[in-house]
Amino acid sequence: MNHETLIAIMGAFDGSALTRLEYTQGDTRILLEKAAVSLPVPPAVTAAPAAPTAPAPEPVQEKPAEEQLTAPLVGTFYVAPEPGAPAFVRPGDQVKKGQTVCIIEAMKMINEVPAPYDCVIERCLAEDGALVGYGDGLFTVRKK
Amino acid sequence: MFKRILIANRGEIAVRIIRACRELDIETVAVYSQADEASLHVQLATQAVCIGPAKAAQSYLNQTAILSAAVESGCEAIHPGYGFLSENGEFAELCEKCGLTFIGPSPAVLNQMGNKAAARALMQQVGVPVVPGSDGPVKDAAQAAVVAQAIGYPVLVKASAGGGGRGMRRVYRPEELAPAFASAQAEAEACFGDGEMYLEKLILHPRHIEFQIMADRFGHVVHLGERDCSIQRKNQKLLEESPSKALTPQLREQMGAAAVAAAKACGYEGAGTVEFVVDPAGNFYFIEMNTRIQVEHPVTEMVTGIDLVREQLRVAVGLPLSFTQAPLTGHAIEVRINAEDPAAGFRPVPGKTEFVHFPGGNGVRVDSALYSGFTLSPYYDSLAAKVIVHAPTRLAAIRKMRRALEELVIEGYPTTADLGHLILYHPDFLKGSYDTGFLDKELDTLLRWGEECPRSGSEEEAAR
Repeated sequence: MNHETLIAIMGAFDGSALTRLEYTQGDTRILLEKAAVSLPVPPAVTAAPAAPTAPAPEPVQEKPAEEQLTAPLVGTFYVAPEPGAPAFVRPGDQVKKGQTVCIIEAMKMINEVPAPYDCVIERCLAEDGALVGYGDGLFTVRKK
Repeated sequence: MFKRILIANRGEIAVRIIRACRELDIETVAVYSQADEASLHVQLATQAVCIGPAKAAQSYLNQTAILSAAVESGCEAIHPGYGFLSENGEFAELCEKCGLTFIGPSPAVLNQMGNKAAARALMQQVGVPVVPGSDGPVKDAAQAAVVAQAIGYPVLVKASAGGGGRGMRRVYRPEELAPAFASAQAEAEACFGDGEMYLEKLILHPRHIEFQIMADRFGHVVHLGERDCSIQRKNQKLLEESPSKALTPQLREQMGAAAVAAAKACGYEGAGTVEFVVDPAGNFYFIEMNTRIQVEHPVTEMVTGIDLVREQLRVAVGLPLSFTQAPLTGHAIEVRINAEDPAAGFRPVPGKTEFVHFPGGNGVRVDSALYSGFTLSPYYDSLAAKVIVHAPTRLAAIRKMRRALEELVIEGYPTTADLGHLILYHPDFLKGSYDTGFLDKELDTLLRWGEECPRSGSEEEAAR
C-alpha cells in the first residue's frame, strides 16, 4: 500500500461514522480506531435540548401556548393607573378576557389595554414610561 | 435649529429628509408600518416607531398614531415629505394644536391652494395667467355647457379637490359633456369626498413646465427655475429636466415672476412648486400649486446647487432663506426607476431586490431606499430609485444619463430603467421638442426598440 492510498483511507475513515476499521492484505495490516463520538444520528433516542451554538430561528419562548400581548396603538406605556399606584398586573397573575392589563397614553388621552383572552401574565416586556409602537410586545402570557 | 423631528413618510423621501437632518445635527424619529420594518429609513433614523399595519390608511395616513409618536418621543416638528399627509390642512392644523411645527405652509394656505377652483380664482386676482375656464365652480352639467360654449371646445372637466389626474375628463364635443361631467363628479366624490367641479379649456399639445419656489417668514420669495416634466405616461412623470428647451430667457423671466407672484399672493412659506402649461404658441397658464417638496426636487438641486430640504428645515424653524437668487448652471435630468413591467402594461411588480448596484461618478446622483435583499412591498407606490445627472450642457447630460442607466443594476423584478434609457435616444427627445403626449404616442415604438436591442454585453460590443 502506498502513502496516498493510506492517507485516503484515513480521510474516509475520519469522515465516516465508523469507529473501527481493520484492513488486511498479504503482509499489510491496518487498524484504525477512534473514540466513540456522540454525533447526532437521525433516529435519536433522546430528544437533546436545543444546542446553544446554532441561533434558533424560532422565538425564544419554546413552551407551548406562550403568547404576547402587543400594543394596539402608539403611545407611552404605563404599568399602573397613576404614578405610585400598584401595577394593574404582575407576573403570575391570572387575568380574564377584557381585564385592563396596562394603559397607553397618546395625545393626553389614556387608553386602557384589555386582555384579549383569559391568560396568565408571565413577564412584562415594555418599560414603564417608554414609548411603544404599534405591535410592540407588552407582556408575555400563557393562554388558559 | 430643531433638536428632533419626526418624518411622516417612507421610502426614498424619508431617507432624503433623514440625511438633511443629520447634516444639521437634528435627531430623527422614523415611523413605519409593519410592512416596512426592514426599510432603510428605519435603519438610518435615530429612533423608529411602528405606527400600524401595512395599509397606508392605518399607518402613514394614521394621523393619531403619527402625532402620538411625535409627541411621546419629544419631537418639535414633523416633516411630511410628499404624498400621504403632506398637503392635508387638517393634519397641519392638528400639528399646531399639539405644539408641533408642520414643515410646510400653513393650514390656511394648504386648504386654499388645495382647492383648485379657489387657487385659480386667487391667481386671476393677482394677474397670473390662468387657463381660460369657469369663474369658480360650476354647479351642474347645464351650467358647464354654457361655460364650455363660451370658452370653446375641447374642454377639461376637473374636480376642485382633485389630484393625480383623477376626477378629470376631456370633452371634445358638446354631446359628450353631460356624461363626462357626471362621470368625473362621481369619481371626485369617491376619491376625494368632494364633488365640486370646474371647467378649463383643454390645451392641446401642452408642455408641463413647473417652477420651484422657496419662501421664508420674512416675505422673501425666490424662484429656482423650471423643470420640464412633459415626459409622462398616463399623467405619471417619468423623466424631468432643467432647464427646459421650451423656454426662452424672456419666457423664463415672465413665468418665474408669475410663480413668485403666486406664492406671495397666498402667503406661502416653505418649498412649493407652481405648475404651468405652455402651449405651442408660447403662452403659459397657471394650472395648480403643489404645496410640498416634490419627487423631482433633485433636478433643481443639481442645477442651482441649493439643498431644498435643508432650506425647508431652516424656514420652518424661523430662519431666512440662505440665498437671494438661484441662477441655473448647466443641465440636469432625472429618470424615475419604477418597479413596473413595461411589457405587461406597467403592472407593478414588487418583490425582493436580489441585487442592486447604483451608478456613480462625476455629476451622478441616486436617491433610493433600495438595498440588496430589501423586499419592495405592494402596499405603496412603485418608485424604486431616482437617477439624476448634471453636466455642463444638455447633450452631455443626456450622454451621462445613458451611461448611468447602463451601469445601473436592479435584479429581482422588472423596472422601467430600460424605457428611460431608450427615451434618451429618441429624436424628438434629443431635439427637445416633446409635449405631454409624447410618451403615450411613442411608447410602442420605444418598447419595440427595447425588444430589438441585443441584450448581452458581448452582442452590444459587437454592435458598436
